[in-house]
Amino acid sequence: MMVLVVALIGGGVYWYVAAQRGMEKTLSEQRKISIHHYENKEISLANIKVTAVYFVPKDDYRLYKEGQPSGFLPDWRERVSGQLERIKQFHESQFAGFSKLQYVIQDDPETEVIVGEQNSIEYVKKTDSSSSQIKVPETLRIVGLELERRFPGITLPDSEPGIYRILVIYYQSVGAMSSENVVLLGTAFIAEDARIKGRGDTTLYHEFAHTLGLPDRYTYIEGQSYDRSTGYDIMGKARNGELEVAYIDYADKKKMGLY
Amino acid sequence: MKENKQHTELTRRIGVKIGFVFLVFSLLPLIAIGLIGNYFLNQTYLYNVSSIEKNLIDQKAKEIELFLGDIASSMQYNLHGTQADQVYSSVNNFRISDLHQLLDSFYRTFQPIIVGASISDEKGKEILKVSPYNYSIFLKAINAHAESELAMKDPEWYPKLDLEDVSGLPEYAVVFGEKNEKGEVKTPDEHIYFGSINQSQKGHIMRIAAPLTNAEGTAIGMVSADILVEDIYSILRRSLLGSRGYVMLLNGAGMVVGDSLAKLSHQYDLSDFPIVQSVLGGEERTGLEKEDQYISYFGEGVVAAAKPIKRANLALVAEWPKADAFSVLDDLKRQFAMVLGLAFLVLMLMGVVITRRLSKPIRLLQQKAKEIGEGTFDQKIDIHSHDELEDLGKSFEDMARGLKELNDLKDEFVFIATHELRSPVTVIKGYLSMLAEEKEKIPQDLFPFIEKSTMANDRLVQLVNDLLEVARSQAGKMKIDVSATDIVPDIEYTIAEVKPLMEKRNVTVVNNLISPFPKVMTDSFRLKEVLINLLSNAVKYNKEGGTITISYDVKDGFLGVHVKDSGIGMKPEEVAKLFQKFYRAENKLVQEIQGTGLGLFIVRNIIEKMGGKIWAESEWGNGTTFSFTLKIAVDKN
Repeated sequence: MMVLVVALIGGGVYWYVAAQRGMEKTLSEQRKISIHHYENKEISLANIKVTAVYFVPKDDYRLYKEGQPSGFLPDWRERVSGQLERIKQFHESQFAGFSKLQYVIQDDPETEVIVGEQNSIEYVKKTDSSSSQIKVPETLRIVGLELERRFPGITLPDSEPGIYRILVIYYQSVGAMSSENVVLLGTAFIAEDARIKGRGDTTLYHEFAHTLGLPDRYTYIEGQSYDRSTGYDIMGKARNGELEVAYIDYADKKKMGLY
Repeated sequence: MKENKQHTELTRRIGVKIGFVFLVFSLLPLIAIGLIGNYFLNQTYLYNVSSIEKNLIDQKAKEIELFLGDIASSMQYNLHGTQADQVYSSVNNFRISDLHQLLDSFYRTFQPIIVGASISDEKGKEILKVSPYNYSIFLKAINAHAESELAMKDPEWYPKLDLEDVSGLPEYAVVFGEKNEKGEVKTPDEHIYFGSINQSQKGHIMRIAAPLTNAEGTAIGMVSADILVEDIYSILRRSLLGSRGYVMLLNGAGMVVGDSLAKLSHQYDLSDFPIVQSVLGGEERTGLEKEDQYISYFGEGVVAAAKPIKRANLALVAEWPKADAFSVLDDLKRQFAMVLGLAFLVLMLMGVVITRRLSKPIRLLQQKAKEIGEGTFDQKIDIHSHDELEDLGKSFEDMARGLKELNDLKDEFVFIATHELRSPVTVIKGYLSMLAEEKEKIPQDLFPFIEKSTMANDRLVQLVNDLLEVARSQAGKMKIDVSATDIVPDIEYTIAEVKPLMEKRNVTVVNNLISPFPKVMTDSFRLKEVLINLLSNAVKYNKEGGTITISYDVKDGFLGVHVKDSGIGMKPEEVAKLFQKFYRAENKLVQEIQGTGLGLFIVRNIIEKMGGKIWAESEWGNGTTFSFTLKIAVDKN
């Protein structure tokens, strides 16, 4: 009898306590979000640091100093920092804050800009085409080598622990190109150039996104652009659009560890 | 003692049986009510919760479909030529200025929410494109008044529209494809494309595409538009599901693209949740199935309902945390459990009370039967249960009364008989004494007969005296005068009295008197009777050459007198019956010793009437100690 009563009471108490406790998991036990390089999961993109330089060939800088017409933008610092701030906002909002972006502007304290050691012709001398699209890769290589020699480590992605470093070189041209972790962007993308007006931010982020491993979502064949992304994907149609309506496709962000 | 234990055990067993029956018939229904009540309460409430969820997502799905349907229907143009029956095979057959006007009209209609729109031909090549950022270029790109079709495309501005080839995009396949995934011919609605929702800084953007059809309804071109779908989020935000429930909007890949409470700032993947796989497979979930209750992405137990929005390749999932959804139910259950618990305790208490109440008369009858068995026939049995037990009590009383009458008759008979016997046996004793004195006159060979007759008569006299004593005691006629007495002389007198007997068996006595020896309240005559009885027993049941030790102690106002022999001792069951009438131990040694079995009964009566107690302690083979107490007299000085 006593056993029955004790069993009943014990069972009731157990049932009540079990019902109250539940078997619930906490959010911390859920998937941990860690943003990484599109192609390489080992490269963390939790913290990205962009170092921006405004690179002007020696002859152009001299012309500017002599008050003669040149491609040099006297207010380049405001334009660059404004653009980088917009890029930062876009990037952090796309990755919901799980990838932080900071930026610094590197200059030569003496000239408050980085003046090339050579004249402009030297930075494109190894190409024989007049197309800016073709000139850019060689320019990127030459300028990159000079910067690495003058500022050791500036082109290396892992020179600071826990931070993925990207170098953005503003160079006076109309082209844009990226290579591993270096972006070369023509100053036309921060100037009032009607041909590419409004596209500077998306072009920079498009090239910047390449340094994070994201591939193109368009194909350019014989003067015809073939869109391979639906909507305003920054890696597709939106590279020529406005940053405020651009986005990174959710499938790409998923591959980079956002979800 | 053992008998008493058996009675207690019997009463306990009866009590347990009564209690068990009571609890079974009262608690089992209570438990059954509790379990059934709990089940139905759960089911009813779950049904209510799921109905609320289902109604909510049905309503939200309807609103979202209406919103998207409005936009899609605005994009579906049916293009006719100048003649009604003219059928064109390509949108390029129309004047570009007309298409420009059409796109401009559409763009301006949806301007607040449109990010961009374009018209493509049946090969997927964009013909025109407009957005808030190139609207001025779009306006300049076409010269509507030019004479030729080619001249309408302004050579300076038309290329700046950045027209692309979209034939590789999914919307092209949806709009121009003739068959659906099942291989069936598409319905008009199935030619409309709804893309994924992506998050930009300006808001959530969805691409929608619809066919431009000819007079026969065949797709000859496509209108695509990127639309800000914040209205969908407004629809979601207007969802109310308790205080913590929420509705999630999922895309075709199982990603949450928005929820009513903005649980997270980014989209999150639920594609591995069974309910999501089910709803993306086209099933609706009601929240009633076991699978609809699970641990959510946020680690909380939820009840969920889901509904696909097939047309837009979206789905709605409503999740309601159980802690919130069932909070009222939990309160109800807690109250229900408390009432049941209280009822349980009350029933338990009632069980105990009723068991005791039912077993009390039985215990009383048992007690009274025991007392009757011990000879106390004057019994009043107070049972007022108004049932068979009360009748049984009355029968017990009648039985006790009858037994008392019989006992009184017996006592009276014994008293009269012994009284009448006393005179003849006394006379016989006298004559036998006379014969003993006249030995020389009687032939010698008659001596043994005279001696045997004398001994038999002495036993008869003893028996008659004892029976008379017992009869007097039971009739309340035993006369005892208690007064403060120094009993040392009485003890010494008694020892001297028994001395011949002791010498005969070579038994010695040790009298350990204490000093000072208190006076006690006793009847000196009767006390001697007690002492002679105990001492003569100590001699009779002692071994040859044994010892008798008399010791004393004072405790709690009583003098204890202990008479210890070195005899054969007794077994515990014999000790328990020592003071009963006519009891004699059954062992052979005792049977050989003369006795009536009334001596200790009389001794007990005398001691108890003097206000004392008597008991015996013995161990088989180790002698026996008889002890009695007498109240110490209060010194008035």
